[in-house]
Amino acid sequence: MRTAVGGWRKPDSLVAVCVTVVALAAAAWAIASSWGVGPPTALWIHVGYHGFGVALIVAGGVLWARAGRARVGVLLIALGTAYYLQFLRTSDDPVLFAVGFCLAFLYVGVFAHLALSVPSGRLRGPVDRAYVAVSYLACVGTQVARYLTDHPAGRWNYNIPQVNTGWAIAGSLIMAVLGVAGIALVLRRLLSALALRRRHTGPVWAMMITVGALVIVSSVSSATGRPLGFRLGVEVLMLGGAAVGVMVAYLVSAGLRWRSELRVAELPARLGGLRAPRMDALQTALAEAVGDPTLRLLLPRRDGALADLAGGPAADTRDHARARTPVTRGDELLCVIEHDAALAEGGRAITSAVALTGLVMENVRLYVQVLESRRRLLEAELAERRRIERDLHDGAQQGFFVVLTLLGMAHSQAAAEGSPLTGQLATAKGRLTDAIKLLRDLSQGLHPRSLVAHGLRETVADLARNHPGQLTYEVPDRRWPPDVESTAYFVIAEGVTNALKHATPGAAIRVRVTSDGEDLLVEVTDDGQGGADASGGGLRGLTERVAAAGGELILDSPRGAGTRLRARLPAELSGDPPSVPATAEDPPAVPGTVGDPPAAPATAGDPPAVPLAGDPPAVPPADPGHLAEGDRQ
Amino acid sequence: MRVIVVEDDPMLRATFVTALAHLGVEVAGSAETADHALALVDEHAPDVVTLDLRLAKEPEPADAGLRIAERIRARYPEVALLVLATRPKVAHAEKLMALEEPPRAVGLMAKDSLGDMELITDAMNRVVKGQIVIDPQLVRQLLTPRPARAASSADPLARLTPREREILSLVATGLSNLAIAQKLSCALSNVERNLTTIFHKLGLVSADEGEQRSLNRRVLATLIYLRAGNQSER
Repeated sequence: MRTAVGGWRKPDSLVAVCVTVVALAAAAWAIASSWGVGPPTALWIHVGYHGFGVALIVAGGVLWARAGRARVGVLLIALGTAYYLQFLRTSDDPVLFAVGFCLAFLYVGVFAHLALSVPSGRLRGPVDRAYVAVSYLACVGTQVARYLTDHPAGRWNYNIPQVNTGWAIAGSLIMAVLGVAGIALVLRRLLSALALRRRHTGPVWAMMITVGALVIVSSVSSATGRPLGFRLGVEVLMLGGAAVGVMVAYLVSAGLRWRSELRVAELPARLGGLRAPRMDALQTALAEAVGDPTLRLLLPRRDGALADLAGGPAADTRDHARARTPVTRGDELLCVIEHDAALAEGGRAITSAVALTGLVMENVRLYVQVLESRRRLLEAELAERRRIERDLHDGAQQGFFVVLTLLGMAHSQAAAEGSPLTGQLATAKGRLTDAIKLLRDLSQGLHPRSLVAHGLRETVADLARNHPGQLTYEVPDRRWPPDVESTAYFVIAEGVTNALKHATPGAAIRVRVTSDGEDLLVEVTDDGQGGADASGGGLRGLTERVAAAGGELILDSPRGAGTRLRARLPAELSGDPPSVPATAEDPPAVPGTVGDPPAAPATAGDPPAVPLAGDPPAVPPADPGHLAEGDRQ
Repeated sequence: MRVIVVEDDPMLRATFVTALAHLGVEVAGSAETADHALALVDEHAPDVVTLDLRLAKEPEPADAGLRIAERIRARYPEVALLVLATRPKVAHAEKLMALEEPPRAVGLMAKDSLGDMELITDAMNRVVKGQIVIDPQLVRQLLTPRPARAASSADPLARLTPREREILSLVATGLSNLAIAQKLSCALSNVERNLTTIFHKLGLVSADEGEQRSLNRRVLATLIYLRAGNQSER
C-alpha cells in the first residue's frame, strides 16, 4: 500500500509544454520527410497514418499540463512519438533505416504499457510488468530478428507492399497473441476491480480493448497476406479509432470525476448542519461523496499506531489496491483516510475530501475545546461562589455575631440599670440582626449552603419556605454532581425570582425537577401573564450558564398564557464533556492533542444550546431583588 | 451549670464565653476541633456542650458540629447538646433528634439569638433538663400556613386548625403547657384540651398518660410537625 501525498503537486506545465512541442516537432519532421513516399495513396489513409501520433502527443500534453496526470501524459506522448519511428524506414540513410525498421512497432509496446497502466500511468503487480516487458521485447525483438535475417533494403512505408517473410508472419502472430493476452489482462481487471474503478475508467479500458482487438485483426491480416488496401483500411481504423477513442474516453472519465468532485463539494453542506458530527457519520459521508464504499477513517492512537473507528488496529497491509492519505493540520496528524488506490488517481476529489475532513475534524476539536473551557469556567465560577460564600460565613458573619453578642450584653445591662441607652441598644441590636439576615440571604444567593450539605430537594424546600407566594415543588430526593445541582438550582431560583417579579400577584409557581435517564429536567412554570423575553440580562446569563454545563435552556412564554422555563442538564457534568467519544473502545487521541483525554467527540443527541455571543457570563442571583431588569418586556 | 463551648471563630468564642460567664454560667473550657472538644468533655464532665454547626478547621466543615454531637452523645449520653447555627435547617433538627430514640436533651438554635443571651441560657437549661429545643424562628417558618401546603392531602398538618397549629408550634419550640397557656393568655385546661385533639389528629393516641409518655408524645408531634414542613408537597 502506498501513501499518497495529501495534495497533488502542481503539474509542471512548462516541462509538459516543452516536451510536447519537441515531440510535435519530431512528428512534423517525420511526417514531412515521409509524406508522398511510395505509390499514390488515398488522402484519408495518409492523414490517418500521419495524424495518429500527433493526436496522441497533443492529448498527452494536455493531460500532463492541464490535468496534472503526468504519467499518462508522458506515456501518451511516448506512444505518439514512438509511432513516428517507423517513418525512419523511408530514409535513404542505412542507419536511420535500420533504427526505423527495428523500432517500427515499438509504439505497440508503448500502447500495451499504456493500456495496462490506465488510469494512473503506473503498472500494478508483476504480471502486468512482465506482460509489458514481453510486449516491448516482442515488438522490438521480432523486427530486429527480421532485420538480421531478411536484410530488408530500400524505402519502406505503410503503403509500400513487402514480401511476407517467415519472420514477418512470426512477428505479426506474436503481436496477435500479445494482443489477446493484453485484452485478457485488461478484461480480468475490469471485471474484478471495484465498481469505483470501473465507473471512473471503464470507458478508457473499453476503448483499449477495442483498439487491442483491431491490433489483432491488423496483425492477423498482415500475417495472412491480405491485400494491402484491406490492411491499410484496418490499420487506419485502428489508429484513428485508438487516437479518438483514447481522447473521448479520457473526456468521459474526466466528466465522471468532475461529477464526483461535485459530490465532494456538497460535503460541507451535508456536514454543516452538525456542529460536531460523529466520526462515523463523517466517514459515511466521505465514502458516499468520493464514491468509494471501502473508504475508512483511521485515527492515531496515543501510542502513535492507527486504529479504525471501532478502535481495531489498522496495520498497513501493503496492498497496492489501497492507498492512505493523511489529513494534517500543521504538524499534527488529525487522521488518515484509507481508500481505494484508484481514488488517488482520480484527481481532485480526494484532495478536496482530505481538505474537508481536515476542516471538519478541526471543527470538532475546537468544539470540544470550547465545551471544555466553558465547563471549566463554570466550575471555576461555582468554586469562586462557594469560596466567597464561605468567606462571608466564616469571616464577616461571625464578626457580626460577636458584635451582636456584645450589643446584647450591653443591652441587658443597660436595661437592668434603667439606662437611657437601652432603647438605642435595642435598635442597634435589631438593625444588626437585619443586616445579618441580609448578609445571609446574599451568601445564600451566591451559593446556597444547603445545596452542598443537603442537596437540591432540601434547598428548593428552603426556597419554598422563604417564598412569600404560592410555590409548589416536586424534586426527587437524590443527589447529583455538585455542578449539576448548582446549575439546576440557579435555574429554579432565577425562574422563581422572575415569576415573582413579573407574574400577576398570587400567580401559582410550580417547580418540577425530573430525572430522565442521563438528563436532569428542570421546569419552572407560572400561570402569570407570560411574555418573558429570553434576551433579558438574567435569563441570558442563565442560558450561558446552562450551556456551559452542557445543557440547554428553553423559555416558553406566550403573552397571557403563563411562563415556562425549562432546562435540560446532563446529569454527569463532571468528567467527560457531554458529547460521547467517537469510538466505543480504546478511543484514539484527540486529533492534535495526543495524550490528552477524550477522543474526537460526537454529540449523541441535541447539541448544547448556542450561547448568545458577546454576553459576559452574568451571575443570576438567587434572591429576589437582585435580578437584572428587562427580563420581560 | 457547667458548659463547654465549641466554636471555631476565636473572637466569637471569646465573646460567647465572656457573655456566658457574665450570666453566671460556668464555662469549663472551649474548643475549636472535635478532638479537643471530646477531650474537654472527658475531662470536665459538663452538663451541656454548645456546638457551632460549621467548623472551618474540621475535614467536612459544613455540619461538623452535628458530627461532634453524635460522638459526644455516643460516649457521654448524659451530656446535653445545643447546636448553634447561622442558618438552622429542619435537616439539622432531624439529625439531632435522630441521635437517640426517643430523642432527648438536644437543641438547635440560630446564632441570631446571641443578641439575647437569656434565650441561649434558657435553651441550655431546657436541654439539660432533657427537653428538646428547636429555634422558634425555624418553627415559625415551618408553620406558616400556605395554600399549597394546606391543599396537600399528604400533609398531616392540614387537618389542624390554625389555633391547634399555633399551639403545636409552641410545643415544638419546647414550651411547657403552662408556658403555652401564659403565652396565649388562656387557661391551662384549654391548652391541654387542644393538645389532646392535636395528638388525636396526628394519630398519637395513647392509653399511657404517664409523664414520660406525655413527653414522648410531644416530641413525636414535634417530629411530625417538622417533617411535614420538610416534605411539603411531593
